[in-house]
Amino acid sequence: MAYTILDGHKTLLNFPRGAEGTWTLDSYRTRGGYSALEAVLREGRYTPAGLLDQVKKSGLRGRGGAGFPTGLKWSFLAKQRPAYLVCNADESEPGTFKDRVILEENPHQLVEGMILSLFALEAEHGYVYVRGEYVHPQKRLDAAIREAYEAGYLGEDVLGAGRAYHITLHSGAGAYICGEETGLINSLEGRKGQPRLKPPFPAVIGVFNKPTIVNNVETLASVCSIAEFGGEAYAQWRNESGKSTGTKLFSVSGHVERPGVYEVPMGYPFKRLLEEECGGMLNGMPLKALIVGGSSVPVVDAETAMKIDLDYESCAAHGTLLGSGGVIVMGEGTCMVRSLEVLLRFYHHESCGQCTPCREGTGWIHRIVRRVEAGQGTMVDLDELYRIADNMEGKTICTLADAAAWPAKSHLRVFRQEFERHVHEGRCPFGGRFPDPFHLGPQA
Amino acid sequence: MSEIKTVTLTIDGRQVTVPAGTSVLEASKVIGAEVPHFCYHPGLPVDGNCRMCIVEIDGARRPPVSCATSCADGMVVRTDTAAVKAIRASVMEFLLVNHPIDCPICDKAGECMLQDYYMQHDRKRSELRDEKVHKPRLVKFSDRIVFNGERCILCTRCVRFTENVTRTHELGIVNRGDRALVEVAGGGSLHNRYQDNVADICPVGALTKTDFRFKKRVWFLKHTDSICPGCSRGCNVVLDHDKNEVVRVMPRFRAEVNGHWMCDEGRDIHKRIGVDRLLAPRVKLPGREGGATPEEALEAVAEVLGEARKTPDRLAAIASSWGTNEEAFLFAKLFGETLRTPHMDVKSDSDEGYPEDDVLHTADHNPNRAGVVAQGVVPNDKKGGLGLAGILDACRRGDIQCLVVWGPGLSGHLPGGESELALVLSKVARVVYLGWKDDPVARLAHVALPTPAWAEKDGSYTNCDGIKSTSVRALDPPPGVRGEIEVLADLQARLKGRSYGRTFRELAAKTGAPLPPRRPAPALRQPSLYRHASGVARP
Repeated sequence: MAYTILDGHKTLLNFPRGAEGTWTLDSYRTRGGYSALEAVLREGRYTPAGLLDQVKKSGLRGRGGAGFPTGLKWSFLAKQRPAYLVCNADESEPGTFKDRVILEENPHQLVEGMILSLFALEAEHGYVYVRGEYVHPQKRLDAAIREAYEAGYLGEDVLGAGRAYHITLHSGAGAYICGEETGLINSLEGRKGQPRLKPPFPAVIGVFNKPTIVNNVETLASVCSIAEFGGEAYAQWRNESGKSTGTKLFSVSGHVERPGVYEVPMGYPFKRLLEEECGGMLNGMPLKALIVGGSSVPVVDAETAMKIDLDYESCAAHGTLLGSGGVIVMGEGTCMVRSLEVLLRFYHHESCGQCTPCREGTGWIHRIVRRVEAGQGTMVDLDELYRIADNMEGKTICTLADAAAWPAKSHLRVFRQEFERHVHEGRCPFGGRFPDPFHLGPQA
Repeated sequence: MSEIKTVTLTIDGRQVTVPAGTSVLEASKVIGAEVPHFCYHPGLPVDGNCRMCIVEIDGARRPPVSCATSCADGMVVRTDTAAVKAIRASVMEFLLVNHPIDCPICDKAGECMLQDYYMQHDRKRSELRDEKVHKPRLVKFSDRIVFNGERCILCTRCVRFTENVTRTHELGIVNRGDRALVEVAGGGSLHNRYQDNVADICPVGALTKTDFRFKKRVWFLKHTDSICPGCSRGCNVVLDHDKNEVVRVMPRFRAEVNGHWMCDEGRDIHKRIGVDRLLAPRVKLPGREGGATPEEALEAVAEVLGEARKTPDRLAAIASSWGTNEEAFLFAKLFGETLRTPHMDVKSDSDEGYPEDDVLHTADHNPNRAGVVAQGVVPNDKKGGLGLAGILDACRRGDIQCLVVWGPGLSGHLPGGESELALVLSKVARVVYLGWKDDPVARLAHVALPTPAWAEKDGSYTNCDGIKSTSVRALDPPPGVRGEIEVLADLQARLKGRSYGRTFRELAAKTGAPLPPRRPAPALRQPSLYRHASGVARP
């Protein structure tokens, strides 16, 4: 299989993994760091509009999960100034830990990507909203921002180009909903982290009522490569069969020999990721199920999983979504009811409580699945579960309800027999240790 | 005036033209096909959290909420398709899944939006097998408001009220998901003066008023349009009453007066109706001492005034600032035209109540000072007429022979209060009192005639901004008590003055009072709990 970008060429994880000091400015510079920024600011490689055009040509899509074309999003930014760039580093989706690697091991690439993006957007100030639990990544990023200020990449007159760029690190308090861009904006402003009604979109009215672009860590870090190699070159990095461009980080967890974060070109076959990068299934056990893009995307069975190429189009064709690239691999012997119960417990806990269907629905389906897992379910419950999940979908301000409904519906659809076995046998056939539901309050 | 831009759209196949910027939900009200909703309230910012008002709009990617969608030219909206109804039914299901459904013991039953929509959309029994989420059920938000967390549907209307109307920010939502709960910030209590409104706008029975809890089933209430006499704002209200007793007072929407709201003081003013009431006439004239029938008392007043008209300079008349425009009109005609006294003025009947604030309450605790003055109850400057202070000084000097006092509160105008009042009135040969309260003047007067309280009579009031509102008689006055209009018209006739009319409707044409809509007489009491009790279009 041929790739335009050579196997092993990395743009985000372009350093020996596990090496000391990759997060420092010196290390980043030895890898060519900040050369793109210097070329843009000192040599005038691009005008702001020119760089925006390169981002459009690159075909870069938002890496946070929704996959919205980045260049298009940027072009919506209202003309009013000041405008803000916000980096969404509230990586909270179960199974997703790719941004963490950038923050911890390569934070300068995010800083450079943000400065380039600020240049393209003709804005001055960027915020990085990092999830509260990411204490260590925050320390690394904070140090990197300091280093960048000292080296003159940030400040009132960046690289003598007469432009001011600033980045502020903001720590979240640990809420999944603050990864939703308007929830993040509310939280950044000091309000309760709850998504806002749209329209108006943040590109028109965002942080502090000013036009705002919110992008994921990986998206902004990828802007460095676009500025370095050009949008058209970036667009060539892909599997010949697919349309998605660039490289993508996948955080692989579950029953594999070598879980971790891997950077591969878009369209890389899942089978190859599993067998080569991850060293195959743990202890050679057979694959049972795959969640390819973080906990919210529909689960697929082993057969489908092996056909998936890791890009937006192939995932969609196989009934799931590329999402954030949080690959959860489940081997034979995993209880899929238990799997769903764990996921729904998360969504029940994290629903912000604003919209009716999500607030009441996430708890409701969680309680039903918990009961089924404990062997107390009925066949009616299974139909109800699907119906309720379906009712939650597409009716709320943000997509958290959808994110809870999709795994529920897909688990039921793909592994219906397993749910029925729980009902018929009156227990978890996988011996899932789970507390008796009658000793649990509904809010457990 | 600049032209208001309008847009024309189609809702359920019917064309409707509305001002640009109107929400689809508001437009649906125009054609009478109001989209069901919980969190939307026309007096509050849009929040869009209940998801009940979802409609279909051609070309929209997914069905939007109609409260947050502005009308656009050529928009095609469908509010009654099977898909929309299914969405509403599902939202209702989500709202009810953890709701205690304790309608039989809930004060909101009968005017509860959740109950109404349940009856309209589903009416199925619960099939829930899991335990419901439990929350605190009896939280005192203040002395006036009690919160039941389990009934709450978290529409945030109350939160937005304290944020945007009173701007006191007491309420907020704490916790997330189905653990979310309305709480008073910092564990204190509600401290604004408009807190009863949060119970009014609560679409369910989560917030109830201590004053109304367990008092009355709402379907027994009769509803009469009235005004609040607590201050010169003259908030338009509805008196909810039964068995000749006001049970609660609710604000009535009037954009230019009070919008959707009223203050807490106004909720309690009806409680003054029965306190210190003058119930029977009193006559203390030579030869007429002791009890008198209303007819005899009126005869006595006519006699006193007939005597006084011989020296109109020594007659003075002080009007009530709680009087209606129609009464003030007759008062001015009787004393200014028929009896020709130059000494006429209006006094403050009341100076108790809330201080002025920037929401509704004004500094003047009287509802109709402006209206009474506008009807001509003013000193006649050409003839050297005296104002209130001048009249009282003249009384003190013994220059006034006959003083007519309408309404309570005269002692409030004297620094020495009641003792000074007695001194001043002792210098006046004849004192006549008209009023609903057993005021010190009533006890000192030679003739005292009881009149109805504002809730017991028809009349219009002019507020601080010059806007007239009409209040309709809700209660029957005590037996034998006749309204001021009747009394003044009767005196006018006995003193051979011109006749201007003897009823509110006759006089309304002269005072420009807006006539209240004639409410259709309530049909048979409907047995269904879900009929909205008041029959009033509800926001």
